[in-house]
Amino acid sequence: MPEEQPKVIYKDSASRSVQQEKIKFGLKIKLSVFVILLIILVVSIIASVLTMTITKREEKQSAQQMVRNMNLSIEYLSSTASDAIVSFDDLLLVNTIEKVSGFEDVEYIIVTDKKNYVLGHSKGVDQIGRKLTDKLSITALKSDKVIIQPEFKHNDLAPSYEISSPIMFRDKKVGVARIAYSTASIFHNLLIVKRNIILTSILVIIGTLALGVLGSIFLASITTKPVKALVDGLRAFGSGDLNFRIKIRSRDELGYLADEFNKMAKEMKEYQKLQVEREVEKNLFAMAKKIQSSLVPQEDLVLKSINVAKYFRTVFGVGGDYYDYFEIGKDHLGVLVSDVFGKGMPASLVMVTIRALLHTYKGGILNSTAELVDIINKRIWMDFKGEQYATLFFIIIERKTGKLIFTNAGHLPLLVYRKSAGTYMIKENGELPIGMMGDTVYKNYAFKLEKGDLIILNTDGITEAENDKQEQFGDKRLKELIKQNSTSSADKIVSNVIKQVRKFMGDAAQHDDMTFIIIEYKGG
Amino acid sequence: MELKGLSIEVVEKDNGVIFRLNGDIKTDIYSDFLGFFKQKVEKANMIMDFTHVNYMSSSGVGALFNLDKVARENNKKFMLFGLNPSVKKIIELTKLYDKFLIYQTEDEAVKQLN
Repeated sequence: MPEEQPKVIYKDSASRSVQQEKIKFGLKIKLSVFVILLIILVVSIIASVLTMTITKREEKQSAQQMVRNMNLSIEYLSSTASDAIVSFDDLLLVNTIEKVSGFEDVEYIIVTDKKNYVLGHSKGVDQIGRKLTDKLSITALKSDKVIIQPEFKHNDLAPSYEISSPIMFRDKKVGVARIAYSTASIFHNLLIVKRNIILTSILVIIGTLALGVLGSIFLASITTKPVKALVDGLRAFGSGDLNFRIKIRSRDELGYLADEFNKMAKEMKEYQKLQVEREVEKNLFAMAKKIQSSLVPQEDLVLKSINVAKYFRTVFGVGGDYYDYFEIGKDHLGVLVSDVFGKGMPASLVMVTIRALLHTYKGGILNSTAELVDIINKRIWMDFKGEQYATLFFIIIERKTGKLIFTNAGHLPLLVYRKSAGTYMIKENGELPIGMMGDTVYKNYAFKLEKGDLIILNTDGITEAENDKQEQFGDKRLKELIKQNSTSSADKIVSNVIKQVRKFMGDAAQHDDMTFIIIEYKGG
Repeated sequence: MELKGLSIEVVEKDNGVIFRLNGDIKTDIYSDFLGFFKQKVEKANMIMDFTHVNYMSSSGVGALFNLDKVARENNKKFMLFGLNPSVKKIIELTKLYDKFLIYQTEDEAVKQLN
């Protein structure tokens, strides 16, 4: 018997071809870039809002300070000028103008008389005596109180302002004092403030960026680590390593996903194992079936005095039936039928053992079927340690006389249809099935055949044959059929009975091996 | 519990278990039948109720023989009751009737547990 290795087929060749693709822009980088952009955006917004509010406040404060300075200096100028005009003290006026023009942000100083003739001017003595007729001068002259030109709006500063005040002496206007202030320094200061804010913002951005990048790399690695673990796991599963387990501790969606994948791998593994087992079992059964079929005679036997016809059908996955028939010398015919309990390899081995012993000893046992059954029983009992059983019916017929001896080890009783009388003869003698007890003593039982007798040998498979209503074909139906067909030859009887059994079964599946043998004794 | 055409009901008793069988014990059930009951009879006294078993093949008798053997090896009792004539007949034909502890009724079998 050629040894066939069970073929184990892993059906994951498709998943093996999964290529390891390089990640171009990983989650880590994407997350980092996103966080950096977010930081820049937030800091920029904060910086511009800060710049706006701070410069506005600064502008207002500076303007208010300038107005205060303007009022103080004009008050000082007008009172001093009043003294100088009244006492015609030109030196005092010049000194005062010179002093005030040294004040911060002052552009020019003009002192006029009540008709707008220049009495003193910060830009030089050559201006003295000139009559001022410009709009600014006329407005200043006409006003009886301190005014600022142009109109002062601290949120929209002009490049320069002029504050003017009437110079009064004993409630009479004796002239006009005017000081022009430049706002250039305010704008300069604001520029510096803005620059500082921008500088600070940039520093903040750089600082937070540094922190942010570190933080996002950390965050990203927390997130991408389990993702990488998942990818590694799937890759391992894909390449057939179903023992791999993804280890993710976090109890978030990724952890849940990992659990699911692990569960899937476990189930796939079990399924694969089952598939392999099935495959192995299938192969073993196929082998067992092959063994079984190769052990039994394929042709019917037609002798001068005896015809032997048979039907034999094995079922996939169910071991069991074995039969054999052979001439012993010139005068004898041996027939053996056995039903091994169980299926697959062990049953096949029992069968092989029976056959080997039968063919070794068949030549020397003309007078005792029991002797051979004894040998077989002891061997099976020893080899299979009392765990494998079989029924066995062994019969030897003396062809000339029709005398037969048989031994029945737990098999169905000897059943003979006597055509001449139209009756069945049953002999229920026998002992235990083989393999059960090592010390069972099997006996020879005798029977005398008459011309036309039919010996019926079968296994349970025939009588157990079921139709789709789960009814069994049964003993009665079988006997009745044989009786009806008894005038036909052995092979015809067999084929007719089997035809009826098949008809009875219909589409229902066959569960068991079927062996059906008719021995027709035609007389010596 | 259902094995190929045979349903099994388990009744726990003080000193053993009754298995009520319902259906047929055919040839193809042999391995499953043996596998199922073997591990049970190793641990406890076992009574099989055959009242609703209509048919048993000779291999079924073989399975009972094996269970009886396992029970003896483990000092447990393996008993049968309620055998109908055809089941009784097949056990007789396989010449094993005397080997088993067979009782007519459930009460008789249960009595043996104590």
